[in-house]
Amino acid sequence: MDFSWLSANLPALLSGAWVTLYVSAIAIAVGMVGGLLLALLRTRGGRLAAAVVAVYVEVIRNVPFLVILYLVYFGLPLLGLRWGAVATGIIALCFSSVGYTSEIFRGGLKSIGVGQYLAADAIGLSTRHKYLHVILPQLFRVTYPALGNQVVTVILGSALTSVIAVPDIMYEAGAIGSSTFAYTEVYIVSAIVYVAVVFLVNSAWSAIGVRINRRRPARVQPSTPEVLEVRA
Amino acid sequence: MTPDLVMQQLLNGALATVQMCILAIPFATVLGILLGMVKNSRFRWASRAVAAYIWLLRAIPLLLLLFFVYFAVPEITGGRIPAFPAAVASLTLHGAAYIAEIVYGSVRSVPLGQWAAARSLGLRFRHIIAHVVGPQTLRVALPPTISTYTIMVKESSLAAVIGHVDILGAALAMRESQIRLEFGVMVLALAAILYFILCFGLSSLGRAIEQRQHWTARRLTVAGEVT
Repeated sequence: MDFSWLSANLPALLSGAWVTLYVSAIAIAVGMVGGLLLALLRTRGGRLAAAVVAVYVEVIRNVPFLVILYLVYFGLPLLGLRWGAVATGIIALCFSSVGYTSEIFRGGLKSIGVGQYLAADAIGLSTRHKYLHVILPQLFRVTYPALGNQVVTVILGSALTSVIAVPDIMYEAGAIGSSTFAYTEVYIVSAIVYVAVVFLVNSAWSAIGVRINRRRPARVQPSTPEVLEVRA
Repeated sequence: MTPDLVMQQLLNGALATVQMCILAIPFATVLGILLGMVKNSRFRWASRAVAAYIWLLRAIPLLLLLFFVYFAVPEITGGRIPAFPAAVASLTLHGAAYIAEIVYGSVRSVPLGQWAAARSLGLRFRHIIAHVVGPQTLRVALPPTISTYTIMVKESSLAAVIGHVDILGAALAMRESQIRLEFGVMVLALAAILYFILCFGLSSLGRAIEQRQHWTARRLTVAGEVT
């Protein structure tokens, strides 16, 4: 084992970790907002909207992310858009993240009893207030663990964007490996970086979860099974 | 390129994808069941080691594992590993971690009273597994396992990155051979359709089995109530 390359190349790996984090953060944020919209469209948006969303979700769930990534990568220039690797990677990750997150929210919406809607209507809440103060807080709490899994999934999935030269951890590892020929050590170190990132994100997510649940205990039992069902 | 030739290449790729999955899925299932049972066992150190393995494999990207097997393992052992076995090995190791976690959770979902009752009837361990706990575990574990299988089919596309000519690999190779952008996008869209057929078929099969199981379970309960 030869780790002498590490001191010279650690900054590159750390900048890769930064790229991984911010690319994932954008995809996760867009995934949450877009996923929520799609889930609401699918459950409350009428038959046509529901069908369109269902087709979109099935396509995302049944086509490998790598194929979606390449389709975006070669498809964008076809539309006259040349935005570079990072933007392309983020767009592809967003497409995928929105689809999976909408399924999580759809499951959560199903688990909220119709009585909650009726009660909100009965006390005269407007649609906006009904969702803002009654439905969404419960939805968020019910789906919280599944959303945590999705966050990790996006971070790990973002490693694939290295194949279109997004300079993330994986990409930097490949570059360092091909210049030092110490692939074993380089990949061990990058595995440690990924494990550290996932560990930190997991810990932060559950720490925040404990705080949220302490303030107002969840009344709705999660309907989503504990085992991971959605991965990119 | 004629449409015939394009389809021919993509179907050859599909064959390679299916070959990978036909090997990796059973391997991962067997390894996953073993690991899941060890994690559930009372051998504390073995169970901890397996828990660490599962946690580690679920915290690194599959691409990293694949590159490790393909680029790093030859550095250690000295021999070269072709793309196909490297892809099958990493898919297996990765899938096994996910299946082990499913098996672990599903076995724990069977109430301890079932074990106690079976033991008090004098059943041996293998009979308890085969006739009491196993069937109940299977019912819980099947849906997430099938969805792990479809994930594995999708993940097998990573083999294209190390140069294995599966569906995606064939599409990328054809794209490179032509200058027109439209052609590349069209071939990739065809590849997406092929993957969709494979994965959607597999998950529909899973849903069908699930339906059948629900039906059998209901019939059993009804029979139980009558007697």
